[in-house]
Amino acid sequence: MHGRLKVRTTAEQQEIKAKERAKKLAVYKVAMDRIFSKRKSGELDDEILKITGQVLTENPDISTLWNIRKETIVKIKNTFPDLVDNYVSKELTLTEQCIRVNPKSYNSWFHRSWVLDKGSNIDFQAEFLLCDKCLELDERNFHCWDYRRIIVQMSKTPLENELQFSTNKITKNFSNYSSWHYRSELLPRIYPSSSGDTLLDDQKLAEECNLIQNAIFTDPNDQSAWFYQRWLLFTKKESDSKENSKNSGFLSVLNDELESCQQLRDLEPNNKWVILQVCELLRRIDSLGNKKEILQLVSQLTKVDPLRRGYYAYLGSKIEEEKQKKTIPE
Amino acid sequence: MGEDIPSPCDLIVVGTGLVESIVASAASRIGKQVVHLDHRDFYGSSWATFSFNSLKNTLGLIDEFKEHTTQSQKEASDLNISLNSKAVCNAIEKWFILDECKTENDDSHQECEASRGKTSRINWTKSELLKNSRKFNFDISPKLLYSRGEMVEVLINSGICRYAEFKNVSGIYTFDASEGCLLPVPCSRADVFNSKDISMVEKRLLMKVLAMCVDYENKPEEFKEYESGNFDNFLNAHKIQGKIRKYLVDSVAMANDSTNFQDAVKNVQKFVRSIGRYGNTPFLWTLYGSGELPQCFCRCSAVFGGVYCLKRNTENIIIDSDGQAIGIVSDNQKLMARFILIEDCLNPLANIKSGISRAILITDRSITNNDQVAIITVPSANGKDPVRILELSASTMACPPGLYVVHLITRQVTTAVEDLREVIDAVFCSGEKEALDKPNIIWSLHFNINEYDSPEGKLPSNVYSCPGPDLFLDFDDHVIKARNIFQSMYPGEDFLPKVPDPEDVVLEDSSEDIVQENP
Repeated sequence: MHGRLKVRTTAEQQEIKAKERAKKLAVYKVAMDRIFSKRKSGELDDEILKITGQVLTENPDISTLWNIRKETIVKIKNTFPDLVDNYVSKELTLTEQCIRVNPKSYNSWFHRSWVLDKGSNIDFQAEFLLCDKCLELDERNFHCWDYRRIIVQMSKTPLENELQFSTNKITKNFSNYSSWHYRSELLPRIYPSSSGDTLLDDQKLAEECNLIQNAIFTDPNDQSAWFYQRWLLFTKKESDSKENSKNSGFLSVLNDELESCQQLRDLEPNNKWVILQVCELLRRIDSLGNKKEILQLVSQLTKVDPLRRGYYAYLGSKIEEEKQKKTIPE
Repeated sequence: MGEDIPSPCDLIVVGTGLVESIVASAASRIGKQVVHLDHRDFYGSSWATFSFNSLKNTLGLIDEFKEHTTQSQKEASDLNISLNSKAVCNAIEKWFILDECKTENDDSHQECEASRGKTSRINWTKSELLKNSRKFNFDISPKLLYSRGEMVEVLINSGICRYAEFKNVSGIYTFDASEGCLLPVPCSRADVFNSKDISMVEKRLLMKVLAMCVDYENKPEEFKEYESGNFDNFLNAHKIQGKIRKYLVDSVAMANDSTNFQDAVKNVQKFVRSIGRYGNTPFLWTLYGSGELPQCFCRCSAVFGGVYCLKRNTENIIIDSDGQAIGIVSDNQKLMARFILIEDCLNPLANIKSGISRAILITDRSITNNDQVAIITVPSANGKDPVRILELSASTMACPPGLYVVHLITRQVTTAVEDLREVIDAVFCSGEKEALDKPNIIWSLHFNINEYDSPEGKLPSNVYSCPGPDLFLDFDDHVIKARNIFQSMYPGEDFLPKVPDPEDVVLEDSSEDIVQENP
């Protein structure tokens, strides 16, 4: 019968696909042979850039080809330094295409940061836009977070802008270690503390505490904010390692946090993160005075989270130890 | 033309409403011969979307609709089709702007400017709006799709989604009558995290109740005492008060004081599960109007061999001596079929059980200020049903830029004007009383939609009656209804399986083979 509609069967579809793949493979083999023979004879020219570029857009994870490109760029930079900017911009276009194919391609991101160094007038605005776009698509793409730190450094971008960026990311989805971590790197540099108890100045500390509270009350099972809170409250300046040097201001911050954690515990009595945090806060505030309560909480933790009972047992033994240490000199 | 209609066929569908269209496409997809008729000159029946002019024609604002008086030969046992019954009725149109602003050199120019300044600050005139008639898309029954609801699943599974475009609803609000303001409803986890309107403890309670409802089926013992009661009891027991209660009841559970627990929880589940699939809110809106959807299904049916005929009357259903339907009489022509499907409004045995009060407004400004598609719930007062407001901006193709189309929907108690007066006065500014912070109404249309009740078991077993639009914001009940009808007609058959990829559809003995034969 002529002219009748027919739907291809799965076998037919597979056959078509297999044919396409065979064709692709043949082209790939020819291209690779040509690249290697050119490299052998030292022909690091426009043609080799063109062929490696074509192969890499299909498969951006062939390190060898990226390295051949690096050799070629270095050669051009040495022989025709005036032309190199043009080549750098071509490398940026190519890596962008490759990042589109595979946003987590180690090679593409690395090549991009390598090539930035070679050019003389890089448009960092465009680089930030690319990062924004990639982190929009996948806010946990650590390749892109890394790359962002590189361009921040190279372009001497004010850290305040980056802090704002991290805030925006957390506003969209606070379950984002990369972004919390970025804050923890930025904040002590922008708002250093004057005392030794914390890393941040008082006002920023209060703001960050509030941000964390919003996160842990919204979703107490999300670890990221709890981890950030630990960093915020329990990290001391390295130069200052004296015990019990807490000023009254910081002590009241700890007490406020304890109060809000207790409030959350009333609502979520079996959440391990909140129990653990109450333990840690009680310990920091007055390890000896709160010993009984802490040990009680530790035993509750063992019940609600038996998988980590070993860790909790260790925590309990540390509390006991602390007491002994203090009692000996007395 | 009549000769082209295949008879006998497998299924005759009378009326192009949503349920009818879904069943028609599902039957065509499994190779059944479908004939789909409508006496109207447009697709979608009470689900249709209209331009300015066609809306006015259809609702009888300009009386163009002839009564159908055709007599046909019929046996006493046959069922007359109620072609004259109108599901959409009582339309009242009102303009709040001048007909026309006179031209520059006209003497009365100043007077006109002056009167315009007094009555409103709107730059549009009636003639200008009507000139843009085709840029308006007015829905008779505007409805949303839950991103993980039945409609979205059917559209994706069947591939019919390629015929339409959608936009994620950008804002959900509930109206606080005491403050006279809108409260944005935090939908996603990020919204709750960022909200400045509620306290930390409220955030926890809200998230906790949402999580509990989603987990309802897995933990029946936690809900035992609430299952038979109202949603209210459940909320009281969990100390949900104030704003978070408003969010939950008005917008998430789509409930009121008397909604039972099970229905409310089902809605909460749909809401929560739909968040994040296509954006921050759980709903999709169909660009160019909800009336696109019945047409999409009709198109699919036609692609797979369905025969379509608009402006074609159906006078009666022919019943044989066993009480089974054997066909219909359409424009005096007998068409035979194994199954017959009609919309409730044409079913002579169906009665009007209740009604919907509707208004469509054109306004000059957004109520919410920055949304492309917004849903606002004005909660029920004094035992009345809530009023749902849907505001569409120009980006949804509902109107020309600079204007907004607003739909109001509630249960009919008296007339559409009366049922919606209070809400319209609270939210909009109509004519004389100018309020700076409220959008001005430029044009309004009030009407009612009848809801029918088709009695079970009175129709022959091979005749099915399909419900028209209801009060709910979504399509899910109708999709389920369509699937049930299909499965009762064709047990064991696939309901709307995936349409093959166009690249995989080939003509047998196609040119490819011919080329091989003659190299």
